[in-house]
Amino acid sequence: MAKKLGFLVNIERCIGCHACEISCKSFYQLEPNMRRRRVQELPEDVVGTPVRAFVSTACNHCDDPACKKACPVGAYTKREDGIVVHNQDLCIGCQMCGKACPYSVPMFNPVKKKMDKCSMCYDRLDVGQLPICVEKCPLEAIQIVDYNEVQPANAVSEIPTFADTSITHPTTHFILHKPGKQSRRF
Amino acid sequence: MLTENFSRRTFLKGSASLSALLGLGVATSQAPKGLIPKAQAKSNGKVEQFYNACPRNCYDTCSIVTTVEDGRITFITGNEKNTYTKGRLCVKGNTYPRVVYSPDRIKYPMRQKGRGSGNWERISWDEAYTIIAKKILAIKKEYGSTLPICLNKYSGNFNILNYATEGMLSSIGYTTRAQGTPCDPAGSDAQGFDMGAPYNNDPEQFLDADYIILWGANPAWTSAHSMYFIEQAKERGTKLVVIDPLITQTASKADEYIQVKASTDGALALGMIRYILDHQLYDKNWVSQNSIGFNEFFSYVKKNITVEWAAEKTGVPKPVIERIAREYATAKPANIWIGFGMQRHVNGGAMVRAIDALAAITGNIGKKGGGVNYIGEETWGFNYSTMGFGAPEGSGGEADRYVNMNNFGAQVLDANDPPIKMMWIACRNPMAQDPEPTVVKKAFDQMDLIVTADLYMNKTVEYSDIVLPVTTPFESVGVNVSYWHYWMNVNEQAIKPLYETKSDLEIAMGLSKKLNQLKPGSCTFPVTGDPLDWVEKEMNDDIKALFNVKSWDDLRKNGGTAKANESITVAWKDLKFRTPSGKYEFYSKTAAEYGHHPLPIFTEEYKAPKEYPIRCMSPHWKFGIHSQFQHQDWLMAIQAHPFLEIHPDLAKKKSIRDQDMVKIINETGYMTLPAKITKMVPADTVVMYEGWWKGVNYTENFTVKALQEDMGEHLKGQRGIAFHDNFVNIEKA
Amino acid sequence: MTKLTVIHMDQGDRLLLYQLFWHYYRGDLMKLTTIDWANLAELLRTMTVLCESEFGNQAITKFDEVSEETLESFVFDYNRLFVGPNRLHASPYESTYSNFEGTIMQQETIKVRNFYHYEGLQVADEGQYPDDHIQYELEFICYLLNQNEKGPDLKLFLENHFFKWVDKHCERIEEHSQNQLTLAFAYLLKEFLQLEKIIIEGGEPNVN
Repeated sequence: MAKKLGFLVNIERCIGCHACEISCKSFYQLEPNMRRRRVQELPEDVVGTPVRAFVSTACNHCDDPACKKACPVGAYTKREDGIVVHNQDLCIGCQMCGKACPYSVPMFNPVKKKMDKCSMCYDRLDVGQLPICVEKCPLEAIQIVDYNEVQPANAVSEIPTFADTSITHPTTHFILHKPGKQSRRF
Repeated sequence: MLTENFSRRTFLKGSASLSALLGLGVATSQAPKGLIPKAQAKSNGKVEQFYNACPRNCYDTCSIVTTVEDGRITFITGNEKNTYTKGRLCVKGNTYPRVVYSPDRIKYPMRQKGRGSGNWERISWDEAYTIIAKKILAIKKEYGSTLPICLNKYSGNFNILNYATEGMLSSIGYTTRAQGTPCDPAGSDAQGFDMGAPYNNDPEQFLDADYIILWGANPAWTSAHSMYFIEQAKERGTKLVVIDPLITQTASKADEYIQVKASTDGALALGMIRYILDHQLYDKNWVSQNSIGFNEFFSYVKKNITVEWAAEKTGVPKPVIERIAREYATAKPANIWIGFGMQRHVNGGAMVRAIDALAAITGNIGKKGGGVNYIGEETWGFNYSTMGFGAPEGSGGEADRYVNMNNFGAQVLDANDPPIKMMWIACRNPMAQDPEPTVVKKAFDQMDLIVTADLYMNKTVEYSDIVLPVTTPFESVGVNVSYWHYWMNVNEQAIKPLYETKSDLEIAMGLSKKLNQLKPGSCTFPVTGDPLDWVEKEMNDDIKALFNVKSWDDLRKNGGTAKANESITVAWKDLKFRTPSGKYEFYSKTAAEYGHHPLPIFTEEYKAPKEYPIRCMSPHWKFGIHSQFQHQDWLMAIQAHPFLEIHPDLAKKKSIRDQDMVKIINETGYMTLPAKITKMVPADTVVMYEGWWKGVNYTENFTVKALQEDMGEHLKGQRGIAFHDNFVNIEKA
Repeated sequence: MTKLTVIHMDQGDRLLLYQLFWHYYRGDLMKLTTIDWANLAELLRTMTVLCESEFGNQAITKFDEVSEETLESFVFDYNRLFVGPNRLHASPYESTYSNFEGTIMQQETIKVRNFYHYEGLQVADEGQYPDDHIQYELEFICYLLNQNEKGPDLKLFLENHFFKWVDKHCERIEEHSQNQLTLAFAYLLKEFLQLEKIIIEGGEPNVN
């Protein structure tokens, strides 16, 4: 059976440090404003008790990628293992994919005049290496999972701030933050 | 020079007439050499890897692998051979390529015409050395000693070879030194009184802990690699308790978070101790065999401390104190990590002594995975051969003179006989990082010459006469160890130093050469030397044995990183304390000698003045270490401006909404910045993160007074500073 | 910018101007006197096409009218724009203009280096000074311009590198200059670039 690769993001472990985003940026030598992975702060009452919680997301390598449907020049392909690949050589920079994606993943690079997004480092995966964000997260909070093989018990596909998953069926899953006990003065 | 050659050869109108007209001689220019015929052997696409060490003032002090292609750094990441760094860097470390290749780096020695004017002229290294050396010699002649020269250097780069700056100053005679540390002094003294020295367990041992209390520490932001081990331990069932006035990122990950009223942590520890003693949960064998003064301490607690009182004092409910006390006392081993922030109060040292006592009575000291962990220096036994040359013959004065780094401005101004006339600043940004910056500026005003060696323009460079451009870790060699983990990391030179940058060691040799040219014998520092030889000289037999390495070069060839052997990674394993008695001292005569109570008693916190009732804390920020990193573009792209965290209740009272501009003021100063309304801070406290922000004309220190901590003189020479006892008022701007 | 119908600059004039900028960016012109600047103005006036252009003319006038005050602050302004120690207001490195935050030693720098290598040249202190500093690019252009057979290479270098960023560089100088001389050089360079584009590309100049 073909693989269905997707990210598994452990919000319980994530400390919101942005090392995933910056190591990706460094490895691919991206412009300061280009982000293939982004770390977002969740509402501080997301688990009931007030906490600093973050979620790191990249391309969700959806089962039904809206970017692929929207692209007029066929720059997007979905590999057999589930990775959605954007071919920058074909890209004409029309930004239709960015508008179509419910998660606003593809970003316009104004220097190259082309779109840009996470490739799940497929060229690294193909030679047995992990994607940079997975390999470089100091807390090991990001994994790649073959969701056709494993369904991690406590993983969910929806979190607050994440767009309706019924449109494109993203493969990214999350492990939620477990609220701890708090003894607060305020 | 190609252009020269072809202009002579072809005699075209352009070159000839221009040169004749303007009388241009190429040799007079400061410009680097131009284009030359390409060297035959050049091959493009060469990829190499080097080991580097992050030298910043940070627990994690990472081992780095740097990828260099065609002489250019293309990727910087962690070294997988180091089990603490684990092949991963923190967010700040990931920005290192930008640190090196930032267009903002200082490239050449420059002199400012009119301090603070922004009118800079480029000078050669030789000119810079000459100006500085002549001033040193003139001062020595006028005052009969070099005491009017003051060094202010600290933690911007902890490469062992950077102590060359101290060595260079010692080599010209006796000078004035900014002494002490804004970092850990009260807590270190406290541990010095209790145990003889601060000494922490290997942080990789969080995995061996049954119970962890992070007491005023926020490793999620300040020690991400430690946080990994803590999260691992948590997932294996270790309970994580975080005690902090703020809901930090680390507190957000706790199994239990306890919001203590700031600066009352000592009361909390003593309340726990009372409960533990009352319920016979303490380790009688441990205290009887390994401590002195326990009975006196026990009597003190019985007489003065109750759990009810502690609850009242700290804001932590009595049942919580009791439960945490029981859990901590019965977990084996239980691990406490005391953060530096917790002791940045007027009673910081006393609080650390109380927490130490808690760990001691429960027998958690000397245990793998346990400990009362604060800081350590067991791996720092290098030769410091850059510092050993001594004053030249005929130096006036008898010894160096010290001013407190934590009250630098005022003490420089107070210094007379002789006054301070020249400052050398390296690895520091006092104009941004010191309390009472207006006083620091006054001290600067009094100087004849201010020399600053730095990577970037900052508040201190802005107010200097001469700036010397320094190398990044990737452009020079060195060796680094941590005050927290037990690894030693090699730092290789990965690329050529950009522009005209030099390391502090090269600057020391260059200045010594000039001094000796102008006046033979005026400086004892060597005038030449290969940095590779210098770094090799740091490795003595003890260091080699401790890390099981043959030499620096051997380590460079074999992974670039080595861990100290297990004999030292469990603090106080042999229970031989370095106190006068050799035991853990609940009763410390040394403490009494320094004017403190001999016992770890409760000490009152600093009380807010009526006009300024709101505490303003300035803890460390996740995208910076003091004034470093935050200004890098990749981090600016995430957060570009400082902000003030305010609890919704306080904000409501002051009619402040999210993103409103807020004026924060006290008798020391004021500033205006945007509000972030959040429940992460208590309603009696606001938080402004520490650091230097590019394009921002104020720092959190604008309202910070040079208020002393209670301890520091014993081990650090000077008391620290109570950064978190900063009281202000706020209003909507 | 003035619309020019007749474009004529001979090889000698072009070389002179490139050399002038080369000297300027090497820092060779920091100590000239008002008389030197007036002499330079006179020399530049012999180039009709420059005099007749709006910014060329303004630049020459500024050289002619250099005051002692201007000379005094020249070096400070020059350093503020191109040298440091503060953040550079008009970075002299090509790669600065091909990425938003102006980082140096980027892929663009290596492309410039490779061009030098292709012509059998290299920066003397390669790796220490970024190859795409305007001073090296100007020296390289002079080298190519001086050899007739290198015409195609020169065109390629100008189009792929020099022309791509120097306009923006001039804009930043104009925006931040606080001195008549640094401003004059920005005007002169801007105008000269237009003329060069016409010569190299054979097209019409931009009309602003």
